Amino acid sequence: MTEPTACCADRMMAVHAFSDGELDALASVELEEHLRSCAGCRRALDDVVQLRTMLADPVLRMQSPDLLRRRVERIAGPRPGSASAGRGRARDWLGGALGGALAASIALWLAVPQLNAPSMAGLVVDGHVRSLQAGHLTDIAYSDRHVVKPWFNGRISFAPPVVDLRGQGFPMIGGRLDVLAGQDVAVLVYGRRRHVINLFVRPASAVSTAPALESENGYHLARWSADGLEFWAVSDVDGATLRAFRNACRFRAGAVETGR
Amino acid sequence: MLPEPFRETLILRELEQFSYQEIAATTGAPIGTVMSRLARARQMLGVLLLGRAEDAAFHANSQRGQAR
Repeated sequence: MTEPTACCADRMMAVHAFSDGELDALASVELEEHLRSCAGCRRALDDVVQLRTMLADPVLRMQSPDLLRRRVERIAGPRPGSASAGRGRARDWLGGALGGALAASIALWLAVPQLNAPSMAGLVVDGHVRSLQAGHLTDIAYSDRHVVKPWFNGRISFAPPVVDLRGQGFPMIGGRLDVLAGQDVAVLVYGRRRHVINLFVRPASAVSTAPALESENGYHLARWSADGLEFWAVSDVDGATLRAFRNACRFRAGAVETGR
Repeated sequence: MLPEPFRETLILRELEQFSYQEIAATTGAPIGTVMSRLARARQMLGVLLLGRAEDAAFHANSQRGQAR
């Protein structure tokens, strides 16, 4: 058997860190360039993404028996207002014989706060569906970010970062204005093969939420904040692809801002 | 079943969605160790779930190469 399908040993950890969004902008750019020419590393990244997609499937999650769940809830006390209170106890349950089961229980339990903004997620999905149904995907259909970014000048009160993600497999389709929850938002539209990714950008609210991935009515959503702006990406692509899109956005936006 | 340190790292990352920094703080392991454990844990799981023989071959290579 020939070797070309093997991941380069010195890049294995970088590939994983990249899939986790933990690689800094410079290293990400360097890895992306390498991925273009290295089939082995590309395949390794695909495998990581595939594995993580499988791990994200609720079907594969261990469901603890009700009795155990009640015991965990009793030990853990009333549900805290945030995930951080639960995290502090992580060390306690990890070492125990029930570590795996408890981890799954607490994961399910901690997953609840992630859904604390269903209305916004719903609005974003509605906006996405509307853009496809109404045939009003873009106000400006250009694949050049240097055209799309200035187009927003004077139309909205903030400047959304517009990044070129063609190299990452997300060519730009264009941009448009939309309204979410009574607020003007910028929408950047990217493609992924035959799928459309709408990236909603609006000024971050005072209670800006932590980065998260979620799904609503079969659509995947990724949200994050940066530089006073809140980003919501929505698409029917799979969760891992949307995660890769989010990572690419964040890294490329960072690279653009610092002039790299 | 994966050995404890690898399982622990994988659970914190995939189920709890901890950052690398948070995993390092929780487990007391240096961040480089967190990264290598996570990569190894996924490789081991990949062999189990995706059943890729070449993964196993690479897995053996990387074990020799990493030795940490």
